[in-house]
Amino acid sequence: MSHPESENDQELETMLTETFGPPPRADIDAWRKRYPSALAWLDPQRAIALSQRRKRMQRVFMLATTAAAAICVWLGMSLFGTNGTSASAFAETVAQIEKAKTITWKETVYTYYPHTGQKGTWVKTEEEHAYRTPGLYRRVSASIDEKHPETFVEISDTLRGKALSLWPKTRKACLREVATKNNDPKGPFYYNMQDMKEGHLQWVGKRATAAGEANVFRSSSGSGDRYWSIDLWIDPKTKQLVGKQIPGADIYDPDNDPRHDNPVGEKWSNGMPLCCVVHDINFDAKLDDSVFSFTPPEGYALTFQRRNYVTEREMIEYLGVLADANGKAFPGQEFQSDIGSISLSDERRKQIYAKPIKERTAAELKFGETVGHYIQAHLNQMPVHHFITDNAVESTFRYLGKGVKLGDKTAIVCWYKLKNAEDPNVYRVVYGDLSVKNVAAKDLPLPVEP
Amino acid sequence: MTTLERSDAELVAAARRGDADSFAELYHRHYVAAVGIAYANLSDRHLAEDAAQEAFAIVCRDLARLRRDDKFVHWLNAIARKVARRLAKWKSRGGLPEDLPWAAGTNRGPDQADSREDRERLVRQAMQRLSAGAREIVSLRYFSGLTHEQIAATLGISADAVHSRLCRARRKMGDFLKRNGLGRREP
Repeated sequence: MSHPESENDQELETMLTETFGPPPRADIDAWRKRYPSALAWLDPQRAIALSQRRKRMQRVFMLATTAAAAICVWLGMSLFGTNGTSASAFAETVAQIEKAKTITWKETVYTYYPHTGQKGTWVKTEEEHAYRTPGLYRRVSASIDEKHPETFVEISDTLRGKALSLWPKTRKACLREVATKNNDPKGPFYYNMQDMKEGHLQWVGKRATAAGEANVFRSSSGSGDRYWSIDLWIDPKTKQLVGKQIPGADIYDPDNDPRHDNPVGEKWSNGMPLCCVVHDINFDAKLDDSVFSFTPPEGYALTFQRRNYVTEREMIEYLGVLADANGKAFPGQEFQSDIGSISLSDERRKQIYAKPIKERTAAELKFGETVGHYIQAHLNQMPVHHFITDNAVESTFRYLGKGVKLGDKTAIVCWYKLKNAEDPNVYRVVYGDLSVKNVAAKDLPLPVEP
Repeated sequence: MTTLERSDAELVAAARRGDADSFAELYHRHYVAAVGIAYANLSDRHLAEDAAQEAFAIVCRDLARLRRDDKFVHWLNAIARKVARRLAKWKSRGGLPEDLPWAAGTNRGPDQADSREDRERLVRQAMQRLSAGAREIVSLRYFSGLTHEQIAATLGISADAVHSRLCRARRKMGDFLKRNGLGRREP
């Protein structure tokens, strides 16, 4: 509620509201990750020492809480079957995902390809996917080059960290260790199921699908440039998940993107994914063992590839490349929940990739080359993330780099403890000039324990 | 539909018994205000979130020491203020980065005060000219997006007091912003 006094006051009110942007959001999971041992301080034994009167009061509170919970459950049950978004409304959908031993689905991927001197165009490709518990995936995709069509098959075992790539046209196969789990070991719709269980979905309307009309539920996060959403399409009769769109229709509408009418020019850059629509979902499909076989078909030439790692020096150099491409200042994290997601902002990346290569600065070119290098090395997650996972002691990486000038010898960019370090109490501290020093925990500018 | 919302005191009592869900509810309920309190001291969104998160970690550690469960929010705010002031001290010593590259005292003329960045810088400067109490009210209102009643509950004062203090603070900020060429909105 506000009480503006005049038109000027109203104008100031609006300006202040706009300036500060959207309010912060409480993310208890991020907090738990950051302070993993903090909740242990809530020792229930301490309650025993409270007075007798307090205990009686607590019993009253417990009864009241139980009564409140019972009423909430009753209210939740009474909402079941309507368009409400309570967790119980998804019980059947969740059960189907949870119990599925196999799942098959198709994905329509929309990619934008910029062209020299033209507006660029929009390409639609189809992929076929299969999943079998625990953690086995198969993807069949086709190249977008109409003149030289080629199918590509990838079978991955997310639990054992290995993948088999097959190129049927050239009869080549490559079995490799993988550093990046491109697929969720718990299943393709695990996180969507969690959103259903936790009541994070909002009903936003209905839409026509190949399977008939479906309810659209949206899961959204972040705000401003970081806003993101996923639409889940659920059949109102069978309660089955029949489709998914990433990002949601409030961010991108593939049916009405005018860019697909643009003429095709000479390609000069990699495509930018715009949207992925999951459809034709089939739970408990009958799948032959050969679908997930890691033995290539007869006649294929098989090669082996070990996985790559990001060294400390490479991680620091990557931070330098980011800062250089970010106007000589270190950028922030892309996702609050992932400390390793240090990257240029989405806006800055779009700005760089929208430029023709010959117009890019040296720093922008270096950024593109570095990202390409890590993708080629199958280190698809951001290099800092890989470094933390492989080399840093859990929960010791802290990033303070946002806004630090590249070359600043005094400002701290990040710190962490190295696994297998000679002195386990020493932190490695990286400064703005990309130097790195050993520093004792007590000398760090922020506490490292709650 | 009637909502059966547990009071802070009930949640604190349950959290002290080891109920992590109750603590999570306290976190959800008061996080935004705690960030607002911290922001008033830091003028930096990310550090303010850091301060609020650290304050909740301290709350976890010291919850058994809280004598009056119904005063939880005031206790939490005091911790958030303390943590934020410590971080502000580090920030002023150069140990921590500024939120934005232009935050540290660039002085541009009124005719250059058109961009969003300039506007943010000037609003921050205008806030710095307010008293600590007024800064908190402005931060809770515009940064955290709380209503007058929520601010009143957070700070333990009346909604009327919030209204009058906010009017005074807004007037002061408005004068400063006008003097610096921010009398109009962006097209």
